[in-house]
Amino acid sequence: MHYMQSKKETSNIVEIFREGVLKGYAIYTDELLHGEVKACKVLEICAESRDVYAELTNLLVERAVKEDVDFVYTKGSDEKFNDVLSEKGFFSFLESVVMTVLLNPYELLSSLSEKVNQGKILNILIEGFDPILLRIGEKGIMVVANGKPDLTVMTDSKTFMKLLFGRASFFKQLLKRKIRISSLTGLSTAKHFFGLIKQKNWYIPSGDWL
Amino acid sequence: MDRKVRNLRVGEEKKHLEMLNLCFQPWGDEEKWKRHYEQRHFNATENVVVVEEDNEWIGGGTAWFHDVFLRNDRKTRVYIAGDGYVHPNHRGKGVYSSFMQSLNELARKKRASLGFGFISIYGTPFKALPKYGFVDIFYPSTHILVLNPDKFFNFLIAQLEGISFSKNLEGLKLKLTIPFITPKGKHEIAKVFQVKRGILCEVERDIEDSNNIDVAIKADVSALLRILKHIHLSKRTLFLIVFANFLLGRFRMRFSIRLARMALGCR
Repeated sequence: MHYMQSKKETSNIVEIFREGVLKGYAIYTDELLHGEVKACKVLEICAESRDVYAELTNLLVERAVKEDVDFVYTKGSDEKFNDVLSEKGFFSFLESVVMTVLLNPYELLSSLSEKVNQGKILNILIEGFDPILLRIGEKGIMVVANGKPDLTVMTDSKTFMKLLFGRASFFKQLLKRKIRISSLTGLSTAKHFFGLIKQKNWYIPSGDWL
Repeated sequence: MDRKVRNLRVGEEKKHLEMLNLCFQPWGDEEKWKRHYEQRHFNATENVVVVEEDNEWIGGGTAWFHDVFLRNDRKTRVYIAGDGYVHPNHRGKGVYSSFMQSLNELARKKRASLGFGFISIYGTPFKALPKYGFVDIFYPSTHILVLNPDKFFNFLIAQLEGISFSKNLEGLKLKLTIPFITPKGKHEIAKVFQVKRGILCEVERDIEDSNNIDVAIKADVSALLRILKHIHLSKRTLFLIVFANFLLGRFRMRFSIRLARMALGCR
């Protein structure tokens, strides 16, 4: 988002075309650190394949060498081609974290909601928020306005978020009493619900890092 | 004391940039400010909050709104919390809390379902954000390719600025060796430093005189970056990081008896 330019000619972008078709691009920006160290920050690398990713990395490094840059760096959330970077001599270390907060579970679950005709009605109570009624289908969930709940699931927002992003096990949280279910007969429905809303793959372009 | 949180006003953009640079030392130039704050669909007077105490500007933060795709290709609105700052004279007085609560409230009003923070594990927000409901969800790696080892070495040493050494260590000589892998091949840089008036200063000569060295460190650049980041945290964490990297073979250290004497205060 921080690299949107109206003119492509003035943007810091490298592209790979094959037979006139765009196969990948990388966006970068140069920074001057401590007034004397020139760094090339790669904001995004988007590649169709490993080969294209490697070629883009080569182009970025070639450009950086030509421009007298002292180091090139990137923060990756798409770890699929990270081995290419280590092959090119990049070293990696952990210094960043993505943190998230639940602000409006109704909006979130409504976004995930789809047409479900049959299924149990689950009442989810997240601490600090109004209860939400959902119909749990085989392949999806639907937010419903009313109905008699078959089961109630109680949890806190942090546990909900960990389960949403697949960072915690449903059964472990249940054993820790971070999730409570009104009746044990609803256990499989509750587990199925968290499985349905789980966001398995997340991609955040490093240009969005602030 | 009268504290209030308000939105940034038209005409206060320059002052906002000055505050960011004062608090982050430095944050960046006008061009960076424009890149962050003059985007399409972003209105600084709506999304930047300012904390004032007795009409003095003491902190603030920004909310960037985006639509993100969920697993079923549906969209939901989220916000990214960023550029949170507190004036150096007002730290530890709950200013951070004031603007974080305001940003979350603003995001709720704008119907954002989730909030995000992209932060360093070494900074204050990593400890502070859980108080406002934030949980850590993933830890992406930072990847660095060094092209100019000399300058990168100096950049690493510059991270030590502001660290003062105890009087006991006055005169201590440290030799630091870092091997780098660059596109041109392997490259090793070694420099000698001495503690003078509590500050680590580079010594031009003496590099070959190993008898004079009190501490000789050879460290992988990634290990050194981790250690440098932990210097500003607790001593216990620093010790654990050094020890872990030592066990992994990424950090090697040799020291003289003089160092032990210096540390104990008996020369």
